[in-house]
Formats: sequence, C-alpha cells, structure tokens
Amino acid sequence: MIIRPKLIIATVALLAMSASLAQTAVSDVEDSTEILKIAALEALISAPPERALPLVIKVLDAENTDDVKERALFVLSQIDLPEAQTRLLDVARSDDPELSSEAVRMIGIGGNAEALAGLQDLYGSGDEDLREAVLEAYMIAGDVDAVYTIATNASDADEFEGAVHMLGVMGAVDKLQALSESSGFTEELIRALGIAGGDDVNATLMQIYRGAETDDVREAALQGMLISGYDEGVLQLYKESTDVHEKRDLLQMMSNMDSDLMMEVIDAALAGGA
Amino acid sequence: MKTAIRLLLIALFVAACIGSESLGANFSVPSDDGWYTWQVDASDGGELQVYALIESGSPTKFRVRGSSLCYSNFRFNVDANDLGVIEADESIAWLQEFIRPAGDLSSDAIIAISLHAGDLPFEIIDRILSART
Repeated sequence: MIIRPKLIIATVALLAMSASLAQTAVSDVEDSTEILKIAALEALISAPPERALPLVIKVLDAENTDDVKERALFVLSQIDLPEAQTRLLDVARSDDPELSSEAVRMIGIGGNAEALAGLQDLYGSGDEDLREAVLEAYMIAGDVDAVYTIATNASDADEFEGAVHMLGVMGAVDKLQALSESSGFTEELIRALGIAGGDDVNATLMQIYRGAETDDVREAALQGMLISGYDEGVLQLYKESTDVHEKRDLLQMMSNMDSDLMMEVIDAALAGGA
Repeated sequence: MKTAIRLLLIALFVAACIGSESLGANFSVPSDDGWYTWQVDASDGGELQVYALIESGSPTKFRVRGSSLCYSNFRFNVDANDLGVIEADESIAWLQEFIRPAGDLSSDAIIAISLHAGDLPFEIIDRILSART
C-alpha cells in the first residue's frame, strides 16, 4: 500500500474541518434551543400561576444553562404562590453561587415579605457575594428596615460599611442619623450621607466638617459634599477658612466638582489683587 | 387480490399517519402579502385577535390583542384581512410551524401561542422547555 503524504494531509484537514463544523452545528443547536427556552419562559409570565409554576420548576430541576435558569428564576419571582417563593429561597440557599445570588436578587424583585425576611438568615451564613446580593435585594424591594437591621447587627466593619453604604444609596437619612447616635459619624456614615444627599444632609455635612476633630472625618465630610454635589457648602467653607492649606484643599475640591462657583473665587481673588 | 388489499391497507395506514400529523392544521393564512387577522378563544377566557404580516409569501410578524392582553404594542392597529373566527388549536397548529428556526418570529409565535385557550399552548411550551441543550 502506497502512503501519499498529500492525501494524509488532505484527510487530516478534512477531518479537522468536519470536527469544527460539527462543533459549530452543536453550538448553533444549543443556542437555538436556549433562545426558544427563554422565549417560552417569557411566555409563561402571562400564564396562570398554577400552570406556569410546574413548568418553571421543571426547568430549574433539569440540566439547563445558567442563562435559562436565571430567566426561570425571574419568572418564578413573578409567580404569586407560596411554593414559588419557597423555591426561590431554596435556590438562594443552594451551593450554586451564581444561581444563589440571582435567586436572592429575584426575591428582591418579587418583593414577597416572607421571602425577604428569609434573606436575613442567609445574610449571616453567606459569603461576600451573597451578602452583597442580599443587600441589593433589599434595595430593590425598598426594605430600609431590613438593611438597618443588618447594619445594627453587623459582626465586623466590612458588614457595617456595606449596609451603611446601601442605606445611603436608598436615601435612608433617618436611619443613618440613628446609626450615628450609637457609633458616631464614622467616615463611611458620612460618605453614605453624601450619597443620600438633600438639604438636611448638606447642613449635617457642614456641621460635621466644622466640628471635625480629625483630618479623616473632615476629609470624609468633604467627600460627602463632593458626592452630593454641594459646591455652595465648599465655597462657604473656603470663605470662612483662614488657613492657606485648607483653602487650597477646598479650592481643589471645587475644581474636582467642576463647580461654576470657581469663577466667584477667581473674581474675588482678582478684585483683592487689584 | 391479496396484494391489492395489502396495498390498500398500507395506503390507509399512511393516510392515517399523515392525517394525525396534520390534525388541526387545516387553517392556513394566505400567502398574498399583507396583514391578516383572525379571532380565537383566549387563555383569559376572552377573545384573542391574532395578526400575521405576510411578506414575500411568508409571515414576518405576529401580533396579538385581547380584552385583557395586548402584546408588543398598545397602539397596534392595522388594516388587516379578516379571516374570521378560528378554533384555537387550529390557529396554534399554524403558528407552531414558525417556532423554528429560533429568532424574532419564533418568540412572537411562542408568545402568541401562549395566549390561546386550552391545554395545547402548555404542551408546546413544555416540549420547548424539555428539549435537551
């Protein structure tokens, strides 16, 4: 038998091509099946809950991609049946980190009070990603009290900061003020106030700045004003200050804020110079 | 004679098979271009108005409107050729042909099917969801 090198090369090339084509075909089929499954799940949103629930649970129990299962979790969050909420909590408690966090967020979207309450236990036993997902879920549900509870029960500084930051995002100024009564105005609390923003917060930030005993607290108050965009306050502090270094820092802050009030400072300086 | 009977039985068997495949598939939207519409019983107990746009002889869009349902566009309103009242399962059988290949039309078809009355929409959705990936 004569072995022809060109034939071997051609055969190998053809095999490689067919393997690649087969791979593409399998991938196309998977994509196509996934697209159809997602469309079918979306169709279930308007279906009677008792008919949609078993189909969604079937998808979660079967071998499916994370994208399909995540869509199933969303549909589950829209089903107003106790079994649906129980199932969401089950997935949230599962060992699958991706789906677990998604289920937690879906509990937030669903807004079921009982399922939301179940997230408190999960927060205590979860890793950082899961804790973040729980805070996000409470934010989505607008459950300020739950986040406040997490802040007051925080076992370490990171947990406290995470909850305080979320209270700021949620605009829960009264809860931040309440926390300050026990812990004082920590840097994270001050920044969270800046995130919450508002006239009352601006007044509080000015008060904190003026009464600050450390540079860190003063800096945090300025950061708070930066976040809330309170350039009038920074200008006011600039005018009040007699310290050259402090004036420079405040001017720098106004520059960072891209404040139009900088012109006022420049005009005053020019008038003073003239 | 025996051969003739055997052939007749085979023909009847094949016809039965074909008949069962196309059960409920009598309804078909004309292939002339334009919007067509027909009414079926809806999943919410009301009436569902189904619309199909035919372009170059094939459907390119499906829309549905119902008493409590409106999919895709609340202001959807077109001059369509009215095909009258159709059995839900017949309408589903026609729409089902456009589930594959996966794409925009298949999503429209699945949504439209899901809003029809009866068990068939759930059987179809179940089959799609049970497909192996």
